[in-house]
Amino acid sequence: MNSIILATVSRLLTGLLLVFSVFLLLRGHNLPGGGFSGGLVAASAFVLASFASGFPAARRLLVVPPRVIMGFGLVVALVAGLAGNVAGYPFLTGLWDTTLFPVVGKLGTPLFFDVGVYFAVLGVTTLIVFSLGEDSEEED
Amino acid sequence: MEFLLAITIGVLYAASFYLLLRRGVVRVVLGVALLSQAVNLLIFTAGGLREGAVPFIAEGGKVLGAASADPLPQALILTAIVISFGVLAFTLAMVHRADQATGTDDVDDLKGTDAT
Amino acid sequence: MENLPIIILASVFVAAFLAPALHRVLGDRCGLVLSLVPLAGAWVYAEMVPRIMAGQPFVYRHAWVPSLGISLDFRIDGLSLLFLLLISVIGVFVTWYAAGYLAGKKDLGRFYLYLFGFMGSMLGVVSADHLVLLFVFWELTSISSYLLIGYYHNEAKSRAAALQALLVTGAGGLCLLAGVILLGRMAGTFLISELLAMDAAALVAQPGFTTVLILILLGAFTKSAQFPFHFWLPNAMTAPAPVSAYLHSATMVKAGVFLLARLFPLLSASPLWFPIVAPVGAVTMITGVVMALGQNDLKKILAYTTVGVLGTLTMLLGIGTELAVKAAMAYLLAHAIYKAALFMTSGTIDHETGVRDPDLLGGLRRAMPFTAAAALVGGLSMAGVPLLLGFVSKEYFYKALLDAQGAGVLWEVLGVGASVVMVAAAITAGIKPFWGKLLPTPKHAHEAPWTMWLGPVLLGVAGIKTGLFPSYAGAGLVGPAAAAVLGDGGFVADLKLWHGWTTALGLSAVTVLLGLGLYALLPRIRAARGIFGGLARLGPEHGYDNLLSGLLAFARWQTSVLQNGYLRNYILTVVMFTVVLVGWMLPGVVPSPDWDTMVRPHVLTVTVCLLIMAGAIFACLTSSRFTAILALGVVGVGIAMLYFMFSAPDLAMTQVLVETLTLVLFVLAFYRLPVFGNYSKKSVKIRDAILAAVFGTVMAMVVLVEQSSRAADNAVSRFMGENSLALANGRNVVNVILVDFRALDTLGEITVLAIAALGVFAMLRLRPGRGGKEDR
Repeated sequence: MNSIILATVSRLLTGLLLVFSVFLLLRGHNLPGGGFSGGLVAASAFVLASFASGFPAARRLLVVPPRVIMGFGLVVALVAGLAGNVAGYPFLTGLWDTTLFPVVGKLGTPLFFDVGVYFAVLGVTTLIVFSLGEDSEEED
Repeated sequence: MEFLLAITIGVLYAASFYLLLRRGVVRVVLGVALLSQAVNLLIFTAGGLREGAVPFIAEGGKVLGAASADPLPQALILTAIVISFGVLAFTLAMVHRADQATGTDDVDDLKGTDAT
Repeated sequence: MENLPIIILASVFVAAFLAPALHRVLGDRCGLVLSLVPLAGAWVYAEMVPRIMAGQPFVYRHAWVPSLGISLDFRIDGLSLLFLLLISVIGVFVTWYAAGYLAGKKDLGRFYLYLFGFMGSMLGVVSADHLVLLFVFWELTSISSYLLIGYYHNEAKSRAAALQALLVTGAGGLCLLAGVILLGRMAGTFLISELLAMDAAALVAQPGFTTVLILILLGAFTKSAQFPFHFWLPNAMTAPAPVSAYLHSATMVKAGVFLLARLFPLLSASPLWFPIVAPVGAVTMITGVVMALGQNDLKKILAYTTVGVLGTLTMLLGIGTELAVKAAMAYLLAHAIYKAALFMTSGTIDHETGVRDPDLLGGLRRAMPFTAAAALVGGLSMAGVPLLLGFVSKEYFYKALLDAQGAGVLWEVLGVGASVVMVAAAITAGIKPFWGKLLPTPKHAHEAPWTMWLGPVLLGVAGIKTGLFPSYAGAGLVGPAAAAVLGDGGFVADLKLWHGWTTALGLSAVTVLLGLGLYALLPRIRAARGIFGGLARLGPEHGYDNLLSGLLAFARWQTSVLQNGYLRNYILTVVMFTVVLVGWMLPGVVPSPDWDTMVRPHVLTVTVCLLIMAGAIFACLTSSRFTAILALGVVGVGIAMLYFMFSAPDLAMTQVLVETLTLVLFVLAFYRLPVFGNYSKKSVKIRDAILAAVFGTVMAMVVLVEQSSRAADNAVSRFMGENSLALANGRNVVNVILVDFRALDTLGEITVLAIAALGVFAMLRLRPGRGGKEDR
């Protein structure tokens, strides 16, 4: 599946997709987007990279193994939930800062929760695609 | 429109059921994928169809407008879409693995726990 | 430090879970470290003796499931204390013993996990003051004993015995649960202390109490191996010796007796108590000792005499006089001490010589002096020879029988008869292997490590000490225990060594003499072993076997009918059943389409719907995998467009992304494979197509019905719409639901996704035989 054109274009596209995915994630609380779609877009970026320049290259691009990203996402989501407990509320109660930030709006634990979702989805998807893809490649 | 959607959903269910009854394992997986689509669409129509009324609180508004689409089924379906993706991925990996181990794609040959 | 007994209980469980790790670090010595926990327990419990003697029970309460009225209620009185001391002290010895007996075994850590799990459950049973809590611990003892009996899990016999014990005691446990719940409902409290303080006569007079009594008795009888449920206990001798010494002599099998004693003030008020409990105990006693006669295996002899003793204890509680209860407590204490020791010494013999047949053993005392001494004391105590606790308890046993209501003489004859066999069995198990001529054994006999003889020796010392000075044990343990059973605070049991020239003393002497005579006859009795085999086959175990094989046959039959292994048959059954049920109700409720209220179709939406339908149908008909996958993609994107056109941009976006990734996955998984195999006959395809059309029609009608019956206002959705910005600072209500209002669902969802991904990873990348190649 190696082609020079795809490889060149994909480098650009991968970067764009990643930026777009973060954008989707951050604005998700007020406009279409959020952790799920952001994570899926980010995963698509790496899937594209793997098609263009192979799975090893895509893994290098990802820096950390998908499993770790997945676990990191789960932990972030869990910690965002536990913040509620620390503050004396039930698990997963949202806590908010009152300052306004550009793009994001107000900062709060639900946003961090969404960040956890983002990484979990990214890790899950890349783990699945890489596992299946590498396994298929090995057979050939 | 609802009538047409009802027919569409019916066709999706019928097609997925037909595929689930096949012996070729890939067809069965296609049936699973189609079934989740059918269910999602069913839940979606159950929430009511609204055109041009996204469930977002308008800039300056405090609450969701009464004419907006119902956000609850949408949240449910969003979850369902991603979950079905996970299920489908798992099924695909299983089928892929079963094919490697047994070399058959006939569900009837996959009855036992041991490779034949 | 008020709650030390509870801390002990908790730390036993903690020790259980630490055991495997500890074993990895310390090896065989881990048992010695672990034994510190029951040792501390024994010390704590011993410290409690004075306060219990003074009639001040220990009470601990902690809310557990307040909404169900279940709390962690513990109460330690004289009866509990007697058991707690037995469990902890013998627990220490068994822990040591196992360190020697199972030395070098790879899974010794696992063994200690089960053993301490059992120990904790047993401590829980005897100190619980709440019926439900007691039941929970009760079941835990069943489960841990299952694991312990099946410790040699690669032996079929061992597994069968473990399963048998679990099924019999588990069935009894279910009866107990039913009985306990009925009793709690009837009395309005689940607290044992409150139950016992109630007016027993009034409670017993309530309708349905007989059911309660029988259910609870079934629980107790199965656990304590009463006839006709006794058969599991001898079979459980496939367990390693420490397990037999602990579970099957001193502790678990006595849980049933404990339950009878615990609820004695209440249950014995029933007129049915005596006619049921006393005869069952008597029959068990006789069954046990008769079967013991025919055994040529040390462990089986001990097991059957244990059945006999359990019958004796039940019989005494059934008789239920003050003297009988006192005798039961004394007998229980004496039996636990000598039987645990004898199980351990016979296990040692087996371990060091490889022989368990008493006829092939003799003269081992020079090779293993400590074990021989311990076995001698244990055997003499079991035989009821004076100066040992066994003698004192037997005196009370005889006295209680003479004193029994009804036919006292009959009880006495049965009791003496059983004791005569006990004497012969005691000589066989405790004395014969060590004295006389040395017989050659497969393994060269030598003394076991100290871990295996110290416990039995200390038990022997305890037997002598309590036998010589029974008044201490009487006032400190037996008395308070009997007082707790009788529900009489001011009662003190004065155990005495010497009662004067009484009938009981005379009977004791006769017993020992007759026992010696019986022992001389034993070889001849054993020669007729065939008869005993026949008896066992006729017995209730046969019924158990039939029941089990019948159940399995039924399960196989219904599995072959319902689960024939053809996926499509399952799907067909489920879907057609739904179609019939739903289709049955549809006529009459399907509305005629109300065109005015519906959203107007648009050229674009109509086209998309047609595309979706075409894609779905095409996916069914095509013979190429690749086109089918593409058709699926068309359906998915079409639905995404519908989402978009009907105000669900988030859904549309997610759907498109998922569709893309799904396509990638399909290609990765299948791109190597050829075209579809064509398996079905044309007639089958046509049948399936018709059924699918019927199903589709029903589902379409369901959509129409649901359209017309939707509530105009949905309170949940409205709440979310109104509070999304106010409470969660988000304008995208869908996203707010996902990450705030229903974040727990989302957390669950990403966890499920992660598990699915790990499943994929494990299935494809971690399989054995890939040459250990594993990626990051």
